[in-house]
Amino acid sequence: MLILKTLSRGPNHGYGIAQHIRQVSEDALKIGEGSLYPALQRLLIDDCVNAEWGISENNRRARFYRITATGRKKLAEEKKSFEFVLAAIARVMETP
Amino acid sequence: MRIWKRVLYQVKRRRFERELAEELRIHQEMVEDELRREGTPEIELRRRAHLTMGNVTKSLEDSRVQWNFAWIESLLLDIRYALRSFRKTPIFAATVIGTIGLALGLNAALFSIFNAYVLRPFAVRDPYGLYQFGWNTKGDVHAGFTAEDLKSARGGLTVFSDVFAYQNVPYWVSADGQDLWGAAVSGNYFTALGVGSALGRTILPRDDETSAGSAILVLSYTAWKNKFGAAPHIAGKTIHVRGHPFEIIGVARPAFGGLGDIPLDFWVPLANYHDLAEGRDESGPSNAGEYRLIGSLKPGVSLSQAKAALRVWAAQRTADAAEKDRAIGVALWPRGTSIPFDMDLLVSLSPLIAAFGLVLLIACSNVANMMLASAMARQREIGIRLSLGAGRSRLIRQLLTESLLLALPAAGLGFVIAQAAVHFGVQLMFATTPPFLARLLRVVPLEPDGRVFLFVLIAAGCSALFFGLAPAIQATRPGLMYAMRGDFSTGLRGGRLRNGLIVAQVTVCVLLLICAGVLLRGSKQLQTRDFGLDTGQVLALQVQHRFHKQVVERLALEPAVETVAAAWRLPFLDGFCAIPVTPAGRTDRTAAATTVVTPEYFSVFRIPLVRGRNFTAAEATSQAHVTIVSEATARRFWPNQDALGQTIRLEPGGEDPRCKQAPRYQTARVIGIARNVTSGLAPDDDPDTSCLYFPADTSTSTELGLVVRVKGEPEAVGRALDNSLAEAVPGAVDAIISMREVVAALLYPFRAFFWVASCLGGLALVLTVSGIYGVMSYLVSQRAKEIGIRMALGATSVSVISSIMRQALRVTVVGIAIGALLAAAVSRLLASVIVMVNTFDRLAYFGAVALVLLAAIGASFLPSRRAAQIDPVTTLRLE
Repeated sequence: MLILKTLSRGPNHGYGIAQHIRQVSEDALKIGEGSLYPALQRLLIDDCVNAEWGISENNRRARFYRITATGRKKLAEEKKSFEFVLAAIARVMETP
Repeated sequence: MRIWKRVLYQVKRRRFERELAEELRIHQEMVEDELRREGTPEIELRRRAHLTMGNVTKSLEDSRVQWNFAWIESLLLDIRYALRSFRKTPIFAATVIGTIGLALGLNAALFSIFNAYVLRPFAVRDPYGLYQFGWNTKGDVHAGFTAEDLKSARGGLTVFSDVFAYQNVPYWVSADGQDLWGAAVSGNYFTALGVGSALGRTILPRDDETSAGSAILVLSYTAWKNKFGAAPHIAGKTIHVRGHPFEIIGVARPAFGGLGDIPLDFWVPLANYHDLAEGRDESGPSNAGEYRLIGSLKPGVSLSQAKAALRVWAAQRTADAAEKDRAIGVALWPRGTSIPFDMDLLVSLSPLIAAFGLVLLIACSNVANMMLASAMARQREIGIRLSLGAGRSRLIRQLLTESLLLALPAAGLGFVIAQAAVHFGVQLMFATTPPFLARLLRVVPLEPDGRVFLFVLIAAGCSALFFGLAPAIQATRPGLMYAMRGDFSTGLRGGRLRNGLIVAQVTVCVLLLICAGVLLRGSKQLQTRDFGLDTGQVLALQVQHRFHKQVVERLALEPAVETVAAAWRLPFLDGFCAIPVTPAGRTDRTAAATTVVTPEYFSVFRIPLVRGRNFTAAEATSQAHVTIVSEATARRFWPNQDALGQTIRLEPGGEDPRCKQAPRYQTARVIGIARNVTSGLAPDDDPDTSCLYFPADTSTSTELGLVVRVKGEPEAVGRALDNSLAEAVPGAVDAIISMREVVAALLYPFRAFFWVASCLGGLALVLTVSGIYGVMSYLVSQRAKEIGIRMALGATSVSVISSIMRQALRVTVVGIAIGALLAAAVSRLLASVIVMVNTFDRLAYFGAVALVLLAAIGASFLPSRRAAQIDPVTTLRLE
């Protein structure tokens, strides 16, 4: 979900995705390569993203991932269920 | 779509992998870039980047796994690897396969038999739709019907596509010198079951109208082949069954032997039943109906629908009946297999299943120990693979693949062994049963089929999990640090598991041996048991009643015959029949076993009359109102009184239809007291020893069974008698059975169970001994360094031997204790299944314990002596 959200802002490469999540979450969430790349492969298989080689901002060759229509739909779904669970947890926690 | 993508990946895989590696390299460079920006010195860059990135190989691997049919790929790799390692240690692989194969084979043999009787449906049309039906009355089940009932059921029960009837001939019958089992069936029997003929024709609906004049008969294919030499022109021939001519009209299709657990040899129309059952039939076709009705459920009709329809029908049929005969419920019994499968069956088979399963368990734990030892020996290899980045689950999977690869050929071997064992077992059974029983034994085809194969495969898979999983988990436990340091021999790792396995083996072994011992002692006791009568020289003749007189006259002329007697119920062959009586001086009615005998009966069986006198010839002929009672009866009826001269009132209303030959008079005077006779395996204090004898004689009562005391070897005399009687009175004698063989047949199950239990126990012992030997040898080789040091420091060889043996014996003693306790616990269960055996036999317990203890000592002695011969100098130099 986090990867899809990051990609929904525009195509990015693996390193960029990891950086973005780390920065936005203010270092609270760190995605290691060990889980990032397998997750990306899964998304590729599921047609949620596609990938092509391009040139990065500092002139390196990099593989850019782009979110697809399926990916957006999946993101929406996951967001909904996440919010549902979050709300549920919040209700439980706030009940005195 | 996804699969397509994955397939595409397989095709272009090199490019994909290159790109993935490239991507990760770039990622690393980016990390380095950032670190550089943060001002990390150039020299530190690489290391820091690696630190942040973690195990790059593993990330690569994990990413790749997403694409692959990963498990297939790793499985292929594992299989290749395992095969390579088996090639290196062929003896290890062969031992594992042999051990597991043997145990699997035994279990599969048991399952083959179970399958043949309980699981395999009859080779008929829609076997699972076949239901025998009847109704329940108050306190009874009504399952015997008349021809009238059959007609009404065929017309009225539309839930069944057809309803047919059969009636088994209650005993075997002799036909031209062959002993045959048969049944009378309704005309639609074969058509409803969809069973055709191999030769001639089967019984057809039109045969229902056959008058008794033209008796016809259909042979089973097996009987035709085995008993009639597969004669090609048998149809149209006539054979004499119990002296009645029957025309053989055909041979049924192969693989059909009726719908019971004894495969039948022939079928006749219901109209011919009385020819076969004359005299033997205890209720007679003229009495209450004895037809069993079976319906073939229409497709799509549920059981509850069938029950509802039956309820209506049963209510109609019993509407005019007396209150107690009215149907209050209905019953449906599935008849698709020889023995219907239910909980009761499983419970009664559970000791057998447990015994066989336990042998498999021992074999598995034996192999588990071997695997554990080999895995420990491979610790260096495993350690290296762990440190190179192999995941633990991946390693476990690999070790499990090895186990499965060993289990697969073991399954094949087991399948072959099962076939051989079943074949051999059946042969052995026919060879060891008393001859008269062997001629009558019929076994359903036991050939293994797909179900047996599936069973072996599943059992092999489960065994592989059992003997593979624990060692795999254990062996991959060492921390990376130990492996890196090259320290692979940290003490007794896996020791607890190993000890546990040995304890389990010893436990099972003791348990099985105790069972074998108990059964052996039981059958020994029974063999020397005094039944109260002498059967050694006695022959029982199964004679048709209409020839009774002629046979008795003829027997009187035979020189080998000493005495001829007759009895209504023969000991061991027929159970005694209980009738209600009231002894004089008491008011309560009680039941007493009853038989009617001729005066010679007591001398034929050598039953001494303790007091009083025997029946006189006059009393026998006139069927005087006198009786001889057994000692047990005398004690029971008149405790602390003299039974002689007392009277017994015979109450009317014996419900048991088998008792119709019981005396009809009101009172009888006791004139003699005979010694107790146990007619079977009942305990000594059983009411079975209590018996009332009433007088009759051989000439007036023709419905009695004949027994003769002969001179010479009874079996040979029996054959001679059979021949001479067949000449004099053809078709009169169904069988001449030596009573000695009858008693042997009675004890046969105990002997058979004893042999099965001792084979299993012996196998368990061998496995346990080899298990202990293997583990101890392994431990000695592991501890070689330590032992060497001890010896160098002055330990004597005796102390080394004793320390090793103590280790082995401690485990054994624990196993023995648990085993003996378990045996004591299950003996309660056994006691309910097996009668007449003292399940707490002390000698059996001590014998089994001593045997296992000795075996354990023997098995651990050799390795410990090897330990004592360790040369300290050599061992220390090796380090």
